[in-house]
Amino acid sequence: MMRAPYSCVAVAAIASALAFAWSCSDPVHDAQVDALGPEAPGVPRGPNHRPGRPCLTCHGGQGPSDVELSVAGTIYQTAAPDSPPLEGATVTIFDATQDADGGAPRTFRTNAAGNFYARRAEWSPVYPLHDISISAPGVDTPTLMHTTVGRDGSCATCHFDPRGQGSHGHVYLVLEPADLPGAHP
Amino acid sequence: MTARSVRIARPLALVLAALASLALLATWSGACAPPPEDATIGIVTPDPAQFPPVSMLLDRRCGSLDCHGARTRNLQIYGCEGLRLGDASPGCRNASGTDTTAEEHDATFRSLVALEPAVMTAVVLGKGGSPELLTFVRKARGTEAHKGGTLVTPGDDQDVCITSWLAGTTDADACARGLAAPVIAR
Repeated sequence: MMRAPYSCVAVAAIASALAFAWSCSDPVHDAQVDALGPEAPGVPRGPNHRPGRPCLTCHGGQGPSDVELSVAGTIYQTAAPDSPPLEGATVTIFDATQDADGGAPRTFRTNAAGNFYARRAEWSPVYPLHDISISAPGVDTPTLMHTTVGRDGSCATCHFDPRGQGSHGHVYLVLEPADLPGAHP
Repeated sequence: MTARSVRIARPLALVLAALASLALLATWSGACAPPPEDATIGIVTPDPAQFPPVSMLLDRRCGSLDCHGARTRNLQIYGCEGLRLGDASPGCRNASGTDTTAEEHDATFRSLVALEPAVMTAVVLGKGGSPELLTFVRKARGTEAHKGGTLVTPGDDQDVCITSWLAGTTDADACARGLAAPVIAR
């Protein structure tokens, strides 16, 4: 009985591994990740990177990041397209297990980039999310999101610029700079 | 079988086989031909004039931009709480936008009734007697896999809103109560 040379076995094993790896890739997801482009110059990967982008594209469990988030987004000060991010805002979210009237919401604080996030291991919400609001020191009335979130934990899936038919624009605290705390001393 | 009968039968069999092959080929090529460009299919629909209350409920419960307010869905829902049409500003009037327009109600209506035209026709002709024949009803009720989960329970206000429209007379009061119902897990 003839034995296959070791080189043939190795080539077959490599070919199988490559075929397996290729068959497991998701070209749609890969394209979404590619579309995000490179990191901004001077901003390292971490909690402050890529503000305003759909966080769960990379952090949703399909990679490439191994930090899995369940809900994440960026809050800006105003509705203006060039608005600075809002640091120190409180984002309040109810999931479908909690009634807005008396239920216990989750709260998150935005960082210097305006980003907030929930790690999947800490919170895996039941959709739809509802009665989402933003508050900040010096603002009497929280800004309330009137609609629900049905399935996507990335704010930027629906909230991106420019505002139009398929987007309500980025998430903001107040419409105009004049409405910001301290604008009228 | 004699030698003579074999001599006759073999050519006959070949001719029959050739004819059968040609017939099969003709059928197959016809089956694969595209339909005429002006082909249409008829749908018996519920009354579009009674749809706006249902449309508003669907917009609230199903039409967020990450669900059926996305253009990638087979069922596309237009309205002020999600996907806008034409020049309508994003958001409803209470969020600095404009309320759902008649054109948006119509676009949602067309998307919904065209999902399963034959089944929709059967349900409407049956006076809405078996709404669960429609996939969108089964998905909303959670009896068929649905990424958005179970959204209505048979007999609740939201379900009655939809099924009453399918039956011919929209229960606008049920639709209004359904709009106000809290969003909690079922």
